[in-house]
Amino acid sequence: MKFCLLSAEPYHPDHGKIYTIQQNNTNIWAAIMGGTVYNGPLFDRGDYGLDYDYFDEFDLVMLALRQETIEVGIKVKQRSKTKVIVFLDAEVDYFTTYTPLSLKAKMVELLNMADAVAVLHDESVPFFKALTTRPVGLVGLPFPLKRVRQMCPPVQKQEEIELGSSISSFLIHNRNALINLAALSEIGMPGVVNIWEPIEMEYVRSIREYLPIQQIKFRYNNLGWDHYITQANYSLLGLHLDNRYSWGRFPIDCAAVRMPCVAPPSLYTQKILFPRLCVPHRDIEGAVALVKKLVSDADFYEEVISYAESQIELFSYEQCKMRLFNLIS
Amino acid sequence: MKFCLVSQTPPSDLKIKDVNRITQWAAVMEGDHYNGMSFEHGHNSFSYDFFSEYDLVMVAVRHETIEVGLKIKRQSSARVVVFLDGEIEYFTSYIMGDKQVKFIELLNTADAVGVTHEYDIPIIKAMTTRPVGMVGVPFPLKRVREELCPQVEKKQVIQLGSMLRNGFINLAALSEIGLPGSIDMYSRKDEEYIRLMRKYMPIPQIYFNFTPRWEDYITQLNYSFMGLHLDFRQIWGRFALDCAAVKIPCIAPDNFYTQKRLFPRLCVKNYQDIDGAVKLAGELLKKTSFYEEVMAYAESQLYFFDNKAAKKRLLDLFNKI
Repeated sequence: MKFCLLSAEPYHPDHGKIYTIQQNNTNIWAAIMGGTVYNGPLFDRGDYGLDYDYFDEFDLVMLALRQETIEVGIKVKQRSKTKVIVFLDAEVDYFTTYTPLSLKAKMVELLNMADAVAVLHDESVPFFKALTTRPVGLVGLPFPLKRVRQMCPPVQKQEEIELGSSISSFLIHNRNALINLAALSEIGMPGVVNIWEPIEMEYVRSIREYLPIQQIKFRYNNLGWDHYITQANYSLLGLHLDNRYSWGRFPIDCAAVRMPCVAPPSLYTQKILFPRLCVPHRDIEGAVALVKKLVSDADFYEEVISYAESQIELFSYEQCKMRLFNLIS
Repeated sequence: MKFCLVSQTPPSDLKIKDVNRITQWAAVMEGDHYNGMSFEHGHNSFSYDFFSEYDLVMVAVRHETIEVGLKIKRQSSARVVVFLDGEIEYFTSYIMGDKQVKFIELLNTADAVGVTHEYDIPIIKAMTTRPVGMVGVPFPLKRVREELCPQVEKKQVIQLGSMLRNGFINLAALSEIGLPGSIDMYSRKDEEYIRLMRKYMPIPQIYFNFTPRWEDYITQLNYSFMGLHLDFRQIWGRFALDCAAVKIPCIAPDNFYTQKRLFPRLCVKNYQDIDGAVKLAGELLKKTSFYEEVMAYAESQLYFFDNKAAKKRLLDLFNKI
């Protein structure tokens, strides 16, 4: 099957070539399908020098849906004969609340023109089914488990907590960062966070004047996902009190490096991998209690890891491909 | 007590009284009301030590008023209560990092923090050593009952809570319920977008209202049969309270404090729970006894939201300072 992913990710020189990088992001769909990636808005602007009928040569185009790609998706469907699957590339609130009504109307049009719609959380299925007559299903993101297990051998975990987000200088990365930090201060263990800019270290230092956050280590995101996952491997557990209804790349990263994750079930991967470690995003007290139990009760720690290990196959390339094929057939 | 409210209310609305808005704090406390940004820009020709003449300044905090709150506390001798004037997610996720740092500073510089949902209390308590309490917003129930909304024959119409904040889910749920809806619109274009969506979705008949004045809005709401608002935000929830005041049930998630308190049997699992909302709407339509029971319960809880009870909560918090 000839496959193409159209996303809003920034331009990369490998666009248009067979994509091979296996990391925990949307592009992995192109890698496992032996396909290619283009930036949708750049394609529309003509930067690749191709017309929309170019997509006729693909059997399946996956459109990673963001505001910027709604019109692109409609044009792919109108001007080519390819099958189009719309893949929701953001949390539900992004589409329901933070997308202007004019684009929502276009989105409904696209959802009804596309051949199928892939959502990120099972609880989002009824909502999207109410918006379209096309098949709607949960497909999710394939996870490069084999590669991670090669990169991340079992190691001696350090008594520190990996946070799913910290205060960021980019609005889109803040995702309940303050709640993560508040919970960390209540737990009283050292933390590790990924940062985008040096100023973000200053943010955390400034709030330490008021919140009793213990030692916190910073890791630069620009060193890439491979660096992040190999380093996250040394943490004892993950914590991410995120309010979004989304896929949840963080809990599966945690499971892959054999560490438990405390997070809300609004992250689909958390719900599947760590049902005993689910708390509402607002429940700092519950999160603190679970972390303390994980730290003090080795059996509990092993049990939750063992359960996650038994479920992680659901996110394998084969299972994700099967869900995709089932949806489009 | 000399009271002052500092908010982001537009200057033209600062004196509005007896509506379901934050302005009601100034009304019930018989105090003054200033727009924070206007004050900061010197439009009132006062310096910040002006606030020393008040016993209590309530700073309705949004990202624009964080610095204003800090300046009031530092440059005047007034007691300052920070009031979270937005959903908790706004503060934890949707303001810039530098503002979040200042927000924490303000929470710890102010004398107390007033929140709008009991679920906010543990979160904010983890961020400040100052007293934290649930205060909410006073509701002009007497005016609604005695002046604006007489008992009327309800129409089989569902009022949707919003076109913006998850209004999209409201529309999807309405399509599944199949009853006509009523929506407050912000511009004529909204009507056009709904028309475009109707090509693909079985959206029932929609009555579009344009009621920028709250008095007009609540008068319209009074004719509806029920309210529906599948909103994700953890917040006070003015809509559920409006519904209870005009004696109609409201279906919503419990992340609205008012919904949780007034309509516990009409709380859906979460804001995406369309099936749950459809089921509850069906029950309200079919079972008169259920409709009456939920309304009797809401009526029994309304005292909590009136001007007097809200004022007491604020004074209780003030007394902890």
